[in-house]
Amino acid sequence: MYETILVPTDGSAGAHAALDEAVSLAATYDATVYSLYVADTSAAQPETGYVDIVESFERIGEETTAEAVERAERADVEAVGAVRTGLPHRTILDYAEEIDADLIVMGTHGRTGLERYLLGSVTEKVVRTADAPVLTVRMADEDDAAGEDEVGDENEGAVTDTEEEEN
Amino acid sequence: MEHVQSDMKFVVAVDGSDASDRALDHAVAITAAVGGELTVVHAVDPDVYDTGGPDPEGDRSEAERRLIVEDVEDAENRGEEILEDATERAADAGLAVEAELLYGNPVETVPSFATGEGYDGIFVGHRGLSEREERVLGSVAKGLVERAGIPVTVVR
Repeated sequence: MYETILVPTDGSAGAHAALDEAVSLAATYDATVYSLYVADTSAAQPETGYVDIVESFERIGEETTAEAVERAERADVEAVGAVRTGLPHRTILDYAEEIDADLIVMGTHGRTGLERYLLGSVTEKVVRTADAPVLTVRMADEDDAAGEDEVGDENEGAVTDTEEEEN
Repeated sequence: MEHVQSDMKFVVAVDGSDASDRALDHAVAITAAVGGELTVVHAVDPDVYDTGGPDPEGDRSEAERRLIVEDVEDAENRGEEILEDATERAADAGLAVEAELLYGNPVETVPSFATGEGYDGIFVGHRGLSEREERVLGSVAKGLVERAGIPVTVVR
């Protein structure tokens, strides 16, 4: 059963969609949401002021996870924020193990653009290697999905959004 | 745990593998907890069966060899069996499920069935293949994650 739901965030729209899904599931299953931000050390090389960059990532992480916790608590869902430093997919897996996550919720992008490559590759690695089930949420505002997917399911997602934001 | 009677509807894609059984068990538990509905689906894909392919011999995994069934009719029968086994397995765990045999590439037919019928999410197993194996065999889980407009839960 879902008691501990991990939702990694990088502050992107895909991560917001994942958070909304995680909060909605947590409300349904009476679970706790853990919002994790990974300060990506691979993006900071020693010669480019490593310490400064990691510190600024950590500051962004504190803000991002605090927002996520607030968002969950507005929906009456218990939430915990955490900031870790390391390689994203490795750190996500380690943290999932640490909190004994029952589910990891992550966003995916469509088939276009650089963003897909960045977020998609972390999601893909987590899907491939996590012991816990991984729930992937596709961003709702993707136009490349419009042709093949029913409009109805996108609307359902939007309803959930509204409910959470009104609380 | 809240036992809310809900109108949540889920789909679980099954293929008779261990990973598929784990996905089914997980889907059953998650669906039962919210008093929702679960449909097990299996896609018969003629493209997979009508060719052994020009691939070099000896470079084919056990799993891939098992996929090459005589013809579509055999595949249909096997699909029905897989669905029956899954239905029984869910019943043993205390959940009555619907079963649906689909036709075509699962990466396309499963999401289009699920969104067309108003399902809330898809569960699918993942065999935990290496990247290399996955390039050869493809991964239904990965395809669903990329294509489905509704949430997909991948269970290893």
